[in-house]
Amino acid sequence: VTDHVSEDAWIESTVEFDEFQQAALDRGWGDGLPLVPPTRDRVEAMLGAYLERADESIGAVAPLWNQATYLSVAANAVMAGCAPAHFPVVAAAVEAVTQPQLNLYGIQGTTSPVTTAVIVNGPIRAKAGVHSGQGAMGPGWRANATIGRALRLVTWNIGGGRPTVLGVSLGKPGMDMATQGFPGKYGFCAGENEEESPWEPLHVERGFAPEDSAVTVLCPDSSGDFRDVASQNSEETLICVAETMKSWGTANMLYGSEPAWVFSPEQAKLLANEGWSKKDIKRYLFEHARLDLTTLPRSSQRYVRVRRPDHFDLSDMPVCNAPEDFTILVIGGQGIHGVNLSTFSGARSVTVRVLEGPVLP
Amino acid sequence: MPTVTIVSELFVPLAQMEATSFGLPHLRLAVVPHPVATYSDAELQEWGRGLVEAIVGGLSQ
Repeated sequence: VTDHVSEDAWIESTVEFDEFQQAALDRGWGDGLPLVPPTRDRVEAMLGAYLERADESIGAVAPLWNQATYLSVAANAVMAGCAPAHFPVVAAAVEAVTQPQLNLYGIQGTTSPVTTAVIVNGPIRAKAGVHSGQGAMGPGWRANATIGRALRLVTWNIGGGRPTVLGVSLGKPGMDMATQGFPGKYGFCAGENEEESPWEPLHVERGFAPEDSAVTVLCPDSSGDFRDVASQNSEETLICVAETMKSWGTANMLYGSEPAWVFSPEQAKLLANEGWSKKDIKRYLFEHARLDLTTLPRSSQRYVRVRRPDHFDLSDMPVCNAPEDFTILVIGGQGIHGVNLSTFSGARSVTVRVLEGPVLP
Repeated sequence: MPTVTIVSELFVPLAQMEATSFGLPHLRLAVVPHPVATYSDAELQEWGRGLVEAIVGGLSQ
């Protein structure tokens, strides 16, 4: 497999598993975990209905701007451990990350620990086995684990944003400059728990029909647990959410990007039962997730004043620039835990339709 | 068009690979120390003055 030369996009099935691992390391592929050898049979099975479009490009992947063809994406999906049923989701996620507003160029070379998180909506969740309930953002679910990983492999192997260590082994420094990194960079994929959410799903909020399937790629740089043990009603919960979101040092506060928040179904139902829509919550958080910068050093105050001049308010600094910049998700199972997903500066999340079945131009 | 790109030390490999991928392997880089964000205005002014020669030289070569 090479990045973009189609005739080399598979290996002979006689290549031994261990031999392939070494060959992959020598080329700087992967994330350090073993890779499934992308034999011709496996890559063709992965392509399925896309076989006729194998050499067609989904988009150019920054920072090397190599074309991600269906073939090269399928090879990476095989290496990540995907089943063919996952491929339409992977292809859609690749389409999303190659949209300019996502700013993959910035994501790939930054010192921030940012990753590309794939949120799946619609009927494809059931068909591909994407889990959205208990533990959906953690281990144990093949579709979630491998779809997220496949997208990361595409950004590294095709886009060139490979981890530094792999670049060093090639004699070429890597382009992923993350200071520490983040476990979410191995792969981050979950379905939205539409069945237990009281609100319209994310893709419907963004203009798709409920029966459409879509992926949204957003760019979190961390995943913070929010344990809402004491709140007795919706307002108390939202006060606590706002207090959690407004911390100093996040890319959201410094640059005004798109903070994302995951509610558990229990929390979402509590809020909806007391009359809160997603729009109401966003408005509330915009008004209340605000930081008093007067206690911070002058250099910090000046930094935000320069970066966010149109929204600067020294004693009441909002965590983002507009209510609609918040993303509200419902993921997970039982429990009163939420997740605070601070997101990368300058990255806008992108939602695209998942194309299923034979898709001819 | 004559071009010089200002880049901080840490990002030189990224800039070189990016330039190569756009077919400009010999793109001239004017390198400043990293990280830029933690230096004072006065120090940045000084770096800027130090770069002038490299930039003018690069543009007129």
